[in-house]
Amino acid sequence: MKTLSGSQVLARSIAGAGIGFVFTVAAPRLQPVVKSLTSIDGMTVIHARDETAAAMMADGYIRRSGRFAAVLTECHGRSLCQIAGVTNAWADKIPLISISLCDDQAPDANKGVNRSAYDANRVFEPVTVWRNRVSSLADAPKAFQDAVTHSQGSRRGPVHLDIEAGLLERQIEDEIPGLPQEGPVAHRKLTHLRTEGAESALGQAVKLLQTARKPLIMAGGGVKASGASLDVVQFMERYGVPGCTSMAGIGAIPADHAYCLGGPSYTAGEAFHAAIKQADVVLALGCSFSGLEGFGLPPLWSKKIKCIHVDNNPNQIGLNISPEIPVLGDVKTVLAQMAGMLEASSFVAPDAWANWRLFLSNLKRERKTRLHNFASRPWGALHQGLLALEMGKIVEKENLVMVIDGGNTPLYAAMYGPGMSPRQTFFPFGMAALGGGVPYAIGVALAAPEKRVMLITGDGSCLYAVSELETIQRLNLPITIVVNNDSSWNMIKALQDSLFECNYVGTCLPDIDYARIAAGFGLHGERVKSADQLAPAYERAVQSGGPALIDCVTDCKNLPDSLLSFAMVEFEGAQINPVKLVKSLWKGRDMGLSRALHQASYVRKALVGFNPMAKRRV
Amino acid sequence: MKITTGGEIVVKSLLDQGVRYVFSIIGGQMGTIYDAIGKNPSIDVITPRSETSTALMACGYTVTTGLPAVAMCTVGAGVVYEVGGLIKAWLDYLPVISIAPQVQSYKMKPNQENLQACEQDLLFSPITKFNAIVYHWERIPQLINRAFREAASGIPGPVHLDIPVDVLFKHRFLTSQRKKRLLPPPHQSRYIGPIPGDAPSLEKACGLLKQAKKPVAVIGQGMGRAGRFPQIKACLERLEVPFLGTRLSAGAFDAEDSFFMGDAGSFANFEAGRKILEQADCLLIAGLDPESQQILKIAQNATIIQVETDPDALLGQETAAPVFADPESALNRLAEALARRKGRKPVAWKNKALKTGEAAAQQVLKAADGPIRTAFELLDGDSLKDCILVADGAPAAFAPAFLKSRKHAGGHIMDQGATAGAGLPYAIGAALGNPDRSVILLCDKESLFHHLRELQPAEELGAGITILCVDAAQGPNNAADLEKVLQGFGCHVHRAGEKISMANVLRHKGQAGAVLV
Ligand SMILES: Cc1ncc(C[n+]2csc(CCOP(=O)(O)OP(=O)(O)O)c2C)c(N)n1
Ligand SMILES: [Mg+2]
Repeated sequence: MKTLSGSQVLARSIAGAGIGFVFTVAAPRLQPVVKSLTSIDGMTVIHARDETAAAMMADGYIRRSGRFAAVLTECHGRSLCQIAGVTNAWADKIPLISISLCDDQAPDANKGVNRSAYDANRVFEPVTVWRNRVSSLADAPKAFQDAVTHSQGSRRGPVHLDIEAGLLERQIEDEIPGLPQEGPVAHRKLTHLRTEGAESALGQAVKLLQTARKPLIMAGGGVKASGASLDVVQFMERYGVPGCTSMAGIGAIPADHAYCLGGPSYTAGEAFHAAIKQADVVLALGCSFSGLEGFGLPPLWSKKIKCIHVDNNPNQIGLNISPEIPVLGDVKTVLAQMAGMLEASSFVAPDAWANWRLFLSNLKRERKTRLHNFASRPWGALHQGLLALEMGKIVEKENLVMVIDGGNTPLYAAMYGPGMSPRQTFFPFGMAALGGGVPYAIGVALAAPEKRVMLITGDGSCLYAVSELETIQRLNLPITIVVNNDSSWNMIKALQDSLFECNYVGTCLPDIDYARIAAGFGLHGERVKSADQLAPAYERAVQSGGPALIDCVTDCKNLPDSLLSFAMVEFEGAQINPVKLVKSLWKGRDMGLSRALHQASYVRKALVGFNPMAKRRV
Repeated sequence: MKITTGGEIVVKSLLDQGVRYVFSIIGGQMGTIYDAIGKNPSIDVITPRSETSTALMACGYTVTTGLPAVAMCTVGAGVVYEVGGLIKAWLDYLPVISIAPQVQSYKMKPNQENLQACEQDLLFSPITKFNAIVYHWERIPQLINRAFREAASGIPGPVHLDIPVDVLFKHRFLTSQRKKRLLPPPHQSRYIGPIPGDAPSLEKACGLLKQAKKPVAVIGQGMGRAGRFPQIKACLERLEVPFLGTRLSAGAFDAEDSFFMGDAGSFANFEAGRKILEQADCLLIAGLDPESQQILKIAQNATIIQVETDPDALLGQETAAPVFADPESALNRLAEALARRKGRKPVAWKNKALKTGEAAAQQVLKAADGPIRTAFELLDGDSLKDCILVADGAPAAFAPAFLKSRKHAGGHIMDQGATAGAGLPYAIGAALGNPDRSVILLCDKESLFHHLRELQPAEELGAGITILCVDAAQGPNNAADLEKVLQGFGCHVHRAGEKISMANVLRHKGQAGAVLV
């Protein structure tokens, strides 16, 4: 019989659960575990500088690779620091395996004077789908198996395991049931329940769809989880149904597809607004109708919409909207079933659908032209739209993977960027949390070794994980960081513009040279002030042979027009002082007439829905 | 009559409680709070570059000033970063007030996929003394006052309030009279003053201490630091009982305290120190914390006197005299009793204990490797006199021993195992609260990297701190050239050896400077 150390048992249990990538931060007590992990064939251990980043790297790795990864940290503050990453995974339903050490003492529910006895497991409760505490080595193999299983039940999402630190110092003589033998790790892919839709529900769904005059497909994150992007596109093409995506569903349907309304959710502007006001039947696929989509409810959505809601999680159906026809099932499977039924009934899409499609695609085209013309005006400084456009061209041409971070910056990227495939662009939409850019880029780069990664980030966001530039440099990852440097926390500054009479508090940043900071870490860094310098700067960045940061100076007076739609949801029910609003608009005249008119045209076309020309064109 | 928003009520309540700084990164839902802050010159927002640092800066600020500090982070996205910092306030008994907006009160619980939202009240519950959701506009002042009360009373600790966006944006016409009623003066919102304590058990404690031939005291829970009974120093001088401090009181005692034996950790790990503790016949614990608990385990032969500001912290039968009182009042009473004692003072015992404390510190310092010793050498001398020293990373293990024999109060020891790299934001908070003192961060590369980004706001705020960083021991796989990294942030970097003295570097106050060892 062989003696095993606690660290070895832990490492083998992790490998045995099919986890092949572990992100961690060096700490004395973790050292033996890391040593045991690295001795396992096929196991990769990545050291980050900070725990928050480590968790986000793991999340990014999973999103891109579709394989399991874990974050492993020490206890207390080091463990709680990973919650920011775990929460992103929770909001976007990513099965991240989160592991921390914890004190051996039993948690004190009474929160007594011994403060280190707080219940660490409970802190994770609201942002994980499952948790456990490992108190004996014999339980370890099963605990990890369970963690992996529960991370992708009907509620997909992160799970958390607290490991009593004392276990690492233990030795164990006897065989532990379920402990895998020594050997290479079988790195597991995420799996997905292929639930069939019930015949009865599908019959009704197909019937409703056939009678629709203005049908719309809404693709959510569930489409990507199901690997059903191609199926959705084929379905749209076969019957000529226009489609759009939720924020989480970005890339589920390429935004530049002829039948797609454009960028995700409200970034598609009037095309999306018109669609959700006028559609009569919505086929919602793996879509949670979150706050980012206005909950699928009035005032932004028409209350007359009849919805077919397809989802794998019974608790997601009926959560916010009340679907006419609820369908429990996996998107890919259900779509195939529906297509089969439509074929069998020799269904031919009515002409009205073509008109409806044309109407929406006109709106899309017109919006795109308007946005592009606007960004290309001879502004004094680089326009964020132009920045996104130019970078988008590079992403498209070089087939890069893109990570985004920031407030307005992601909106610009969505509005001006190219059409993306399902696993090509990454942002933690559900939390819309700043600061993940650098670690997500690292995780994604590790999962896509054959590709260059481009990170487009706001300046406010870009320092959160700046220490990880060391990690990028150390691992020599091919990442180009593009900073939209508007010297402000601009999305929120916009709010102060429009509601608080330009009382800018805590939203202005000084002129910071991020290229210089990056150069300190050994990255290639340069600063760019005009659009024509962007492509050459990118070229030089690639030529430098390593990671690089391009600091792009933009104008903080610009705003993405669609921000207003998101704000309407965010501030629903909040009393807005009309006097202040008017005063703010008056003070906001510094913005300039052309910007005001541009925004006004958004209000008219998207929010008011007054757009007589669009109807006439059909 | 004036239109008043929820945000204004929040800010008014904070001002009433004496808040000068709010450590915060903005989110849209905080709009009305920020608007009100912007209109009031007596309160400011300090913006770090990650929410984790809001709480850590607040810790450093409140612990060095005794003034209240607020960490304010945005709904969901912000607070999940914050918890990793607020845990320090929880572990270190610091009364940090955490406030966050929430999504609409009518749909925040249970969560229904609101943008950014999670049930953050649950997140904070295990690591705060008190947390609540403010559902109604009228209750804002009451609950803010309560948060301050709960944070400061008994054994201090962080508290958290969630205020939904509809409550923050709601506005009402408010007559000055109604406003007065809504906002009671802060001195009417809690008891501030001494706790003379539970008389019978104090009486008993006096009796026990009088009989003791070999008494030892342990001051824990951060007692003695700013805002937490700083007069305890004078009381201990009068009491004439040799005492140990724990990590949390590191800044409170120094070589000028005639009865200070040093820090509990170094002492208990030292052979002769252990013996002293085993021989002690009476152990006076003021403020139980994890370190004083360790001492308690060693001092098996001692009768225990325990003084706590919260009766809940009193141990049961282990303590012969469990005293609910504030430590200043209690120690004064005990000192009076001892002064009336007949017979000889245990002078020999005292001398032995103090000598052992000295030896324990020396033993710790001997174990420090070359670069750390060089760092301490740089810190020696007058340059250190009025500085606040924050020790983090590997040097933190040796700093209490170093501080013990120096005439220098104002040391702060980070716990690398519990919260990594807290030193930098903590030091920035300290610098903000003490504009006329220099702040030195003694750290290593590993710890410095966790919150390196905060060098940017430090520079912007002119909260110049001086970093003394042990660069020699290359952390596992940290490939960065520290000198270049720091220069990238605009730091003036010096290397130890080239005729550099801390006094020289400190002269450029307001500028970030670093010395690498
Ligand atoms: C962790 C976190 N903190 C705060 C916010 C609130 N917030 C949303 S957008 C924004 C400003 C972002 O600034 P920047 O990264 O520069 O992007 P910009 O909007 O300027 O493009 C802030 C503070 C958030 N979403 N997440
Ligand atoms: Mg910005």
